[in-house]
Amino acid sequence: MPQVPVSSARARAAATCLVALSSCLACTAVVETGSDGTPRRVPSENGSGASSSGGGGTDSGSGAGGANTTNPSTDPGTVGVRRLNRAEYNNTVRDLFDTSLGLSPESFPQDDKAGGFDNNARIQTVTDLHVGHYRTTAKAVIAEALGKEPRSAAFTCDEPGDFAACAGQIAEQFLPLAFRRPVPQTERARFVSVATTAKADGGTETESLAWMLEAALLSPSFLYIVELDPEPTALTARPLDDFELATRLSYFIYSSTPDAPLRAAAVEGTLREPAALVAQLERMLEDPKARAFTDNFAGQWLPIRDLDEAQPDATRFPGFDEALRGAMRSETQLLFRDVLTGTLSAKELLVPSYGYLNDRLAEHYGLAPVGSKEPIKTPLAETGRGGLLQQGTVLASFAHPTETAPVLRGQWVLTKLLCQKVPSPPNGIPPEPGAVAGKSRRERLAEHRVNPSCAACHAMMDPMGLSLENYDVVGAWRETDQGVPIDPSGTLPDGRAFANPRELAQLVAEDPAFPRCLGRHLYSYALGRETMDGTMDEQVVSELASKFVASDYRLAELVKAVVASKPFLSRRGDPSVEEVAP
Amino acid sequence: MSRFPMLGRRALLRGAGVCLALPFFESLRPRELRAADAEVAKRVLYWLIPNGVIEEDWRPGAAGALDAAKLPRSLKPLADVASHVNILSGLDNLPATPDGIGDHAPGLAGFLTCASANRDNNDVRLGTSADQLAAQGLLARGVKTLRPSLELSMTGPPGFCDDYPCPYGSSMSWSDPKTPRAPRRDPRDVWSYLTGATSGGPLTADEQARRLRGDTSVLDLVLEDVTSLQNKLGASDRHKLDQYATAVRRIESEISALPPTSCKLRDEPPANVTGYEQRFNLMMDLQLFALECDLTRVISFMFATSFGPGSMPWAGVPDDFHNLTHHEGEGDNKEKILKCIDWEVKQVAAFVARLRDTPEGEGSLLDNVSLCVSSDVGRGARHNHDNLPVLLAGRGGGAWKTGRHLVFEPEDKTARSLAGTRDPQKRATASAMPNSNKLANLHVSLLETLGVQGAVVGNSHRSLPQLVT
Repeated sequence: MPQVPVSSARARAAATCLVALSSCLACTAVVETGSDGTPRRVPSENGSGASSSGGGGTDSGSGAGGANTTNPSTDPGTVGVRRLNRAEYNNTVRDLFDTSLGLSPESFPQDDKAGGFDNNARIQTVTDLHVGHYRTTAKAVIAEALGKEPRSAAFTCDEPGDFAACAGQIAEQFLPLAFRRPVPQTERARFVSVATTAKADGGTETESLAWMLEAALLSPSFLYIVELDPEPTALTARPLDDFELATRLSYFIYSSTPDAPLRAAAVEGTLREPAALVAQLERMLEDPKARAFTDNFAGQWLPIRDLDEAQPDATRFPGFDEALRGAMRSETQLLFRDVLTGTLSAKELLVPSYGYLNDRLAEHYGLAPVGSKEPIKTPLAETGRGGLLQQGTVLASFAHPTETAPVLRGQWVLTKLLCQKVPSPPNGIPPEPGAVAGKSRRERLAEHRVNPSCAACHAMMDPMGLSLENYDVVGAWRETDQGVPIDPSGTLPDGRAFANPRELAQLVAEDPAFPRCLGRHLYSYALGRETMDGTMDEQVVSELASKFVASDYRLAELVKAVVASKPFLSRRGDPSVEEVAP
Repeated sequence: MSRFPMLGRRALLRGAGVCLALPFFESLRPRELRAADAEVAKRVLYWLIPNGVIEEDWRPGAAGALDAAKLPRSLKPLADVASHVNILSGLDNLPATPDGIGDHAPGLAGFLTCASANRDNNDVRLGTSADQLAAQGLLARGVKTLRPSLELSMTGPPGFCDDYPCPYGSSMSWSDPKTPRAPRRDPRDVWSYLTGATSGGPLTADEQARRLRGDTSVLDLVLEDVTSLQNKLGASDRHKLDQYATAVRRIESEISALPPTSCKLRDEPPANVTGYEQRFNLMMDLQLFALECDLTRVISFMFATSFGPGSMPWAGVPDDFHNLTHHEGEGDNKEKILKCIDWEVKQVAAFVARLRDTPEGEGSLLDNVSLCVSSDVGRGARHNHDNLPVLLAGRGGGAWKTGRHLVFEPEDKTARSLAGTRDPQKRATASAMPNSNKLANLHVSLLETLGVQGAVVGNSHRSLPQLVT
């Protein structure tokens, strides 16, 4: 959707800061090469590395026998209570109330990301700003639902004459949906009393029911995904119950509350059977609601959301408008969807034989019209287009307003497709020396790499980014830069050479780090946390990669493998001791 | 995404099927609010401009009186209000450089906390910011305004923040070391918050009171739910729900407060204002409104979150501001950076002039305001946190004279060099040195103007005496 054009180049700008000036510290020292397919242990790969799980021998005095230490080969790690982020909240009220109302992207605070995703429990915070919007949105959604003629079944009762009984019935119908679990009578009674008290205070029946429903939508049981352990601080792993599993699965694929078949399976207690779980997953992936997976997983793993903030200089690139931005977004989303449905292998994200273009985007790319205003499947072999590295989404997201940003493009490939960590530079960065006029980008960057401590990272990033220099700030084709012909060939530090972006993309697709990296991102997104030291996470990521490769890079198989992993199916408590905030 | 059109006030009101009514019931106004009316209101504002300044074009030479005719390039827009501002040179905020790169994020986070950002996604921990200490201090003194504080920003979080946990780069107000207060960035949202506008038809006092009882019963139930859930959770999760309970309690305290009837409320800002400049102007109007009507005494406002607003075509600069600062020496980049700064200082000057021109009591609003402007870094090209640019407008209720250039020096000069090392021990030592030129000490002085005494802001150890004499 059109975003307020606030700080367009923030992603790029930040990353410039990260790489362009830095004297990188031994990039390769923490790089997971994976050249032999055997993962090395890389504690801080791609992210800050969740080091403080609070596990490992910390004892808060609880715990069934022997539960005070974790075993890294069996510990599933811990996932804290997780607040519904904006997308999840909006999808959830959509599914519960059949509404298109929701939290406003302009007013609701943007959800913070950790490890690349905004569904991370540990980074989340909440203030009255959030709650104020949860509250006003709840009021609006409820007023709309209760004002409908006829009301949906969840909000009607059999004996309208008896208000208390009616409120009781609605609570019985609605609260288990809202809280994604069975809600005992004693708990329901407290909500019902909100309605009956309001009624006794002179409210109308509708007003009084609205108060009850509002209490439900502001309850932590609704706003937070909560998994309660019998021993909240014990390290003993336990399997999730059916409702917890249905919830995890649903927010993973739908970014929303469990649908009727999932709830039914949970009520029957059959969801945990592996075959039933796979069947549910396959059904869900076919459901239109699975688009949320493309919006929220692919939207953040790939720079689809970042594209919203690209702000090329309007004077130099007057052709870049919202229609073109939308066509670029669709190109990436539709190709990803083909990967998700199994039409393509995940490698073909990088080297597909076709893509989705409309006339506008084809013209922008300098290709023949495709004869459609809507994006359609278009053969693209030998056109220099199609793969992620040749799509406007990546090219325009990683550019400055007035010039391309080869380092940022290279850095994106390195961190998001190969999961290599680019370390931080030291303090006291000096002003960058002025550029020497008449030098090509390649020459300028070569000078930039004279410092050996820079070279470790830039030897990887620069050849990748420079290979994409034929694509300008908005991803259109060009032959020269500042009058200098562009040479898209290059060599990676390990000697692998490529002639053009397509060959580079092929190298990335064939790199053993790629499937492992995709697996890592997916796993982190599914659990709502980054990988943690001292747990079985690294082992799981390796297993995911093996299964993924064995399936010939079928994304659906990777999704199934994540869901079948022990950390997805089970959990443990968290013995960490929180210091008291002053 | 288009499934979810922005839920603006109109959508909300449509959804509620009722029309807007501002509650105006004197009988419902809390007694504290009326008591606060009697005190001369001192207010404090903290503004952050992104990406630093260029020192040689900012610093007005030697210490002494500011000569409006001889201001350096970046301060020229202040000529008309030079007698109402102080320029403070030489202040350091050494905790704002916790380590290495990412200095924009911890710099922004450190502006008001003067604390070092903990670089761990699993343990976001900073300090309590000066503006929140002000709000908490005023409440503790029994000074209650409609809203305890207002946090504003022109932009949302930076798109890229993995190198530091995101909250550091997007929130400079922290109500405790673990709770960043995400700023409001939608002018209509700010207006709703300031006016307390609620959905609901023209209500009688009885209906209004009944509504309040309904809200209270809902929020009380929610708080009970939080407590019962907390008993079943580990420490980290309990803390998360504490945060939620704190937020709910604040909502509960605010729904009963109503705007003063003595002040003319502003109209709701128009919908769909997307241009930065237009939204900026609305944010200026809203801040002035809040100050004039004494709706809050504490405001923090960011021209942009870390890494800046992107390109600034409205300032005549099509290139990314932050990126320019990293290539300051190339081509005409320095001139472009200066143009961005010119625009920012022009906005500061225009706002100061509006404060000056707003009568209050015997004088002007400006007399009772402290507007502290600084940046997330000293100079964009250097990412330094020594010798920060600091502009202080207003007289803090008569606490100090204006029209001066004050120059500060660290008594122990090793602080700056120690702070530049990679050794966390040495950096901590540098931050803790009792040098008088700490930005944190300025914050203590500003808090004192509000009657909030004895506050500790990050690494502060005293107030800034040179300011007051």
